[in-house]
Amino acid sequence: MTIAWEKDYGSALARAKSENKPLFVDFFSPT
Amino acid sequence: MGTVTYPHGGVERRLSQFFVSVRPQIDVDKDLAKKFLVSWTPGLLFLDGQEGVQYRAFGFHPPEMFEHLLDVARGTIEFNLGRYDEAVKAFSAVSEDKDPSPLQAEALYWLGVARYKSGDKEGLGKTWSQLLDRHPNSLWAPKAGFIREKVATGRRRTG
Repeated sequence: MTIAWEKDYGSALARAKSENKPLFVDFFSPT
Repeated sequence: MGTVTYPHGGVERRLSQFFVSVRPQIDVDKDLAKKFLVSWTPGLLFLDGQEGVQYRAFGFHPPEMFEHLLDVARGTIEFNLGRYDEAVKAFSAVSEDKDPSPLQAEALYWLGVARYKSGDKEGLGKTWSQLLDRHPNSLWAPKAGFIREKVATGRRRTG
């Protein structure tokens, strides 16, 4: 089962609302 | 996290089943990071649909510990929604897991509270006793320690 990462915060929030699921946000640094 | 933790089967299953996930880059999504007071990575937030922060953590988590974090976060969200039976399930999954992690003490603390709130009043003392026995040096043990004094006082009064 692959994680379906959303491309951006806005679309993630919209999907979370439509699916009635909590939103997991991982702020990362590439370095 | 991306290399080690997210490819783990248990992590993938939990994130896919229970959450919608996104990874903002902290130096690109600066306004978003500022909005949620995140200035270190990994900065891990669990939000409800109104963008309320229900749970947060920082730092790298190895897979088994991150599985526990996801279950504690889910339990916390269910607890805050008043769905205590669901919270009990999530916290129990952590506390009963054979793989040890520091999050098991936190899970036992909130498992006791969730049991109490669900109507199992004796569950609080029983669960917190497990917490004190299994994790006496955890940050959560001092918060639960008074329960033994309370139980002992009750026994003296009825004995």
